Amino acid sequence: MRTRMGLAGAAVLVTILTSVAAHGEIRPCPGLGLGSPTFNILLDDLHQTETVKSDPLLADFTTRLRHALRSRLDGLTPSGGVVFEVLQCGGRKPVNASEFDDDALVAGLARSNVVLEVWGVLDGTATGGEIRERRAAITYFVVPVRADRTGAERRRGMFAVAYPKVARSATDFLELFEEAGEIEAYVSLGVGLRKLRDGDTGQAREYLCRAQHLVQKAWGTAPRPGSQEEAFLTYLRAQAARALAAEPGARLVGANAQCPGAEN
Amino acid sequence: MSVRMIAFAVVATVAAVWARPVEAGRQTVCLQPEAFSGAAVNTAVLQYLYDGPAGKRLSATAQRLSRLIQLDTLLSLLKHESIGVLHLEIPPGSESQCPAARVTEMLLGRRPGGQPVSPGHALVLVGGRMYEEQGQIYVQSRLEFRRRDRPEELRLTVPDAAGRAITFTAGLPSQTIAFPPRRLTADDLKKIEANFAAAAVVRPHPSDTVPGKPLDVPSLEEFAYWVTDTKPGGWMKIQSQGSGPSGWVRAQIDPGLRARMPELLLVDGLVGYLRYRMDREGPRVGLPAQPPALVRDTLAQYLKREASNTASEPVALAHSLDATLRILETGPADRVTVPVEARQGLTRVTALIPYNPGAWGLRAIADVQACCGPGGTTARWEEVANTFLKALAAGPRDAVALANLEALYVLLSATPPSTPIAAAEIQRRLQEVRAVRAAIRGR
Repeated sequence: MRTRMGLAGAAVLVTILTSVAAHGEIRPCPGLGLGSPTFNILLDDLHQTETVKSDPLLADFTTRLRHALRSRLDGLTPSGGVVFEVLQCGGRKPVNASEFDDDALVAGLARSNVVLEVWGVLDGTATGGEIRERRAAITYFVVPVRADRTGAERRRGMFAVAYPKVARSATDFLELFEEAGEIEAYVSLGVGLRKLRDGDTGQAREYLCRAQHLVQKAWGTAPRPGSQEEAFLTYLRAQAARALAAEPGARLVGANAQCPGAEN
Repeated sequence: MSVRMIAFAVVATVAAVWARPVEAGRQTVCLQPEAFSGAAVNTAVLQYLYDGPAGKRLSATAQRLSRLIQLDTLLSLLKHESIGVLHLEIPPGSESQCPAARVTEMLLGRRPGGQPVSPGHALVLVGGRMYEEQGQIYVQSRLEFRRRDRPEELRLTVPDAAGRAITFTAGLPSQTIAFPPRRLTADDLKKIEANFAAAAVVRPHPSDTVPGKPLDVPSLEEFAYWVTDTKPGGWMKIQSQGSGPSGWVRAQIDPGLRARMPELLLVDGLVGYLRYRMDREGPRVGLPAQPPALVRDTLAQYLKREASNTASEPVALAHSLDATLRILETGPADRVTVPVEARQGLTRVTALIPYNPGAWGLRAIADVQACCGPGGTTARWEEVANTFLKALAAGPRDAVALANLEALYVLLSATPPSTPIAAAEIQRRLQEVRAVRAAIRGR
């Protein structure tokens, strides 16, 4: 399952991305200001390939997706009084991860309390004028991962996922996102890293443990040894351990204690 | 009179409880929410927020969804006795001033404005977001509940070897829950609305054969009702506070709305749980609460409906309520025991939300009697200690878990040890927990 997702997903991503412009546009996101009191999720305009542009269900699609994301993120709100805002970034259309290789851009996002930016491409296959086999190549940019300067390795914080994860026919692009359990995981990771940076290690640990559980649940199976997913999980565990190590309670549970439910 | 909200109070002993029945007709908006001070549990439905594109509006049918939820809530809660059901309207442009957290604070008397619930009484706030597109209505609900000035906790007492009572305390894993988004069609809603309207007929006597006047949903927007009496079979006598009809209505719940929004079943079970706890712990209000077995039946219906869904947190809450009721049912507060089914239920909770420290804390205190109480041999103390440590591994500052862990080691240190090594280990751990608690307090 993991192998199928990883390789098949990568192949679809390459196919879709080569069919759109090599560079998109990273315009400022309307409504996003410095020092925002909320944790922000940016929802960019998703590219639509020529094949799917005529899909009537794409009218107001970003608004519908925003509603779906807000609804899902409400599930993360109860702990710690954290408030999320999903901002619809009209006209902001990145297509390449390298467009985010700009320290000033990333620093600006971090200052505006952005924990996640969602961008990507919608595509499909047309048969007899009707769109079938809808698919999406979505990249989740977890800004605090890029902003995290601990350790020798700089991390890009980009996580690409191809939908559908397993072959199925979606009648609406929104259906593809119903299986995107990783969204909550990436947001929890982003919040956990921000809390860690701010010295709120107790809450950081809670969010990072939640991120581990949610990402493993979204994947469904343990990551393959040597895979990107395994490396990501290792990173997550290390951050959760960092948070715990700063807490007096670490003396009781052991500094290397795994998050409950994520021991394997 | 233009009363744009409906407010219901369901009481059995009306005169005793409702000293000021006119309260039932007072206009209530989210900026000044007014609870029924005499009701044991107030359930407030905060108008669902529209989450669509600027310039678009919800259809009239979708706009009435939160009133349908209120009507369903009223009818389903009737059996619990002494219930207030409010609809809190959000005036246009006031959305940012009425977040659920702020409204909750006002209704609990922690923030000025409005009429809070009485001390010790309970509040359940339901609200959410709505979005409509091409005849599909997407709705996502949120639930928060509290008892005013009273923590929602389970206390278990275990005597040590000298007969001294050692108390363990844990709360529910969460008291604020977001449900998964639901999709309804406009046709669904119209049918549900029509079914409610057909069922809600005001009759001069509590009998289906007596002709009456319909109490349709649109008319509910204009009037406030006060329920003055109830009869077996779901009959309630309503007294209009405006120009609407008065008489007997049979509370019949349309299953359509609950099929599409099973969270209403959880609200029902939760109100039953809160009523039961108030009956046990005070203040007692009105007639006795429903037996916990019936409340658990409602929770079981919810769990059955959600079996295939991924709603981990709401399902975990339902299991936690069920387990807590099973424990409380076993006896008076100082003599409750923990049935196997409750322990199994709490194990499910930790599997669903292993990142939640409270889930581990609740499970651990339910295991204490099994390891360390009189005759407790079905669990080892090390396992119970490890369960508390899992709470701390997920939330290293969890004060409740730390206090319980200390209580466990105090209990064990007064118990004849199985080996000298175990006695030394318990002492070492006890000192360490105390040191950690002191370090956290000193921060």
